[in-house]
Amino acid sequence: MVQYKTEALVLHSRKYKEADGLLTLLTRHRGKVSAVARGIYKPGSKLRGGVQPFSLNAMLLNAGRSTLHSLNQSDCLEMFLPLRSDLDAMAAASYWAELLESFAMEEQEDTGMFQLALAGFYGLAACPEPLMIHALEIRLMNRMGYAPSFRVCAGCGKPIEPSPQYSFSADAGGLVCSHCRCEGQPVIRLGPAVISLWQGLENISLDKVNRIRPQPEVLGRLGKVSQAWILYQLGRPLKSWQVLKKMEV
Amino acid sequence: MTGLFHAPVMQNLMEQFGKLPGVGPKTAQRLAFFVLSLPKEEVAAFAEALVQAKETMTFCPVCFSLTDQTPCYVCRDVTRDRRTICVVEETTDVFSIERTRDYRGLYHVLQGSISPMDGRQPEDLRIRELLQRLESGEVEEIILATNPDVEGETTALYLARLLKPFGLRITRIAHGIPVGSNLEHADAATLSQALEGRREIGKA
Ligand SMILES: [Zn+2]
Ligand SMILES: [Zn+2]
Repeated sequence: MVQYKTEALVLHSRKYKEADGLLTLLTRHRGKVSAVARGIYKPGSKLRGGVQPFSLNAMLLNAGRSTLHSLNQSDCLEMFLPLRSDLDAMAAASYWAELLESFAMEEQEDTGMFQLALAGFYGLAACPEPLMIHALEIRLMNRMGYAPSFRVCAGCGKPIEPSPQYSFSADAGGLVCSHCRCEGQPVIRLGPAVISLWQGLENISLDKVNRIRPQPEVLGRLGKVSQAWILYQLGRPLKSWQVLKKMEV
Repeated sequence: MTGLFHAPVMQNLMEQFGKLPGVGPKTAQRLAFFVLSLPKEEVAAFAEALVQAKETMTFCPVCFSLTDQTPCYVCRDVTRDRRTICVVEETTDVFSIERTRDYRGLYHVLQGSISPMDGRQPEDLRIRELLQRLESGEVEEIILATNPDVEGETTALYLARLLKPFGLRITRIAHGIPVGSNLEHADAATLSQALEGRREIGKA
């Protein structure tokens, strides 16, 4: 048994056995970690305050031989209360947590990823808008090395000629030129404004995201592209995305 | 290993006990042997009780709590206040609130909560049925008494938004410091919610 201390974001918590919790954590020093938090569903549990989803905590964990670690102590550092009092924020945080859970590597130190995750929760607490969600999606994809090709054709590698309409193919890896676009291949049509918005979101500091005011149809198109892109990289749809769509009242 | 461990009937019995929540293989084995030590009539009564409960208990067609009566005791009780519906996740929550004897309105059991990350969505809950109950125009207040965890809060926020056009009074149960506990041990979220849910005291 090795005991270690780390900051950890709780991405997911579910009930395990009678009174235990099974947590998915994103830690600063060990990447994604699964941990059991014993007795958190018992009344008076001291751990419970430090295991709430979407919270940042200072944790003391035990690593055994199995990949399931166990939680000894946890002190909440940041609760992100705004994420808990608004439906859109809660929904966006669930989606961000599932994205991180799906892409983060198990037990591999990745401080950059941890920082992005943390910045994401702060960003969503301040601005739970689609634009913020897309900025986070794009940054996460770039971090994973999954940036789509916008400058050259993803099929033949020739530069993409300026045009009012481009074709994006997630399977091909980005924009495809008219020669590489085969019949029946599903493409998303998009204009240059969508690409500039995408590139803008790659670099803008997250606290300035709400200053961008894109046309609704440009934003909608960008959302389509990023969904198709994430679906292709992950190979399966995200559960929370489907629920989010159903919760739009 | 003795032959007893291989007896298929014992294996089967242990497997059945193992399906119960919180029962691991060791406990399942102990329970199985305990059953064997009971008089035959008691075992029969035990088995009968299980089957009977399963056969008799159904969901109330009005509030969707588990009941042996249709509609359930609360829904059929004419002395209950029909202007208020308390929305909870599970039938066990109805029992908990009934124990306080403070609440005289009706209930609605959602049979779960919304959990985006587990793929549990609004249509998996008894939300449509709740909306149907509002059509009569009798209801004036909805109390959202889902659990104060992420799923319960998401469900409450979703319902609050969904119900807004009905023009009802929509309230959320207060969460805060457990009775008999200590402020020092309360976490930040609990304390902050307790402050938010504060009320005036000492007014005549
Ligand atoms: Zn090409
Ligand atoms: Zn009923």
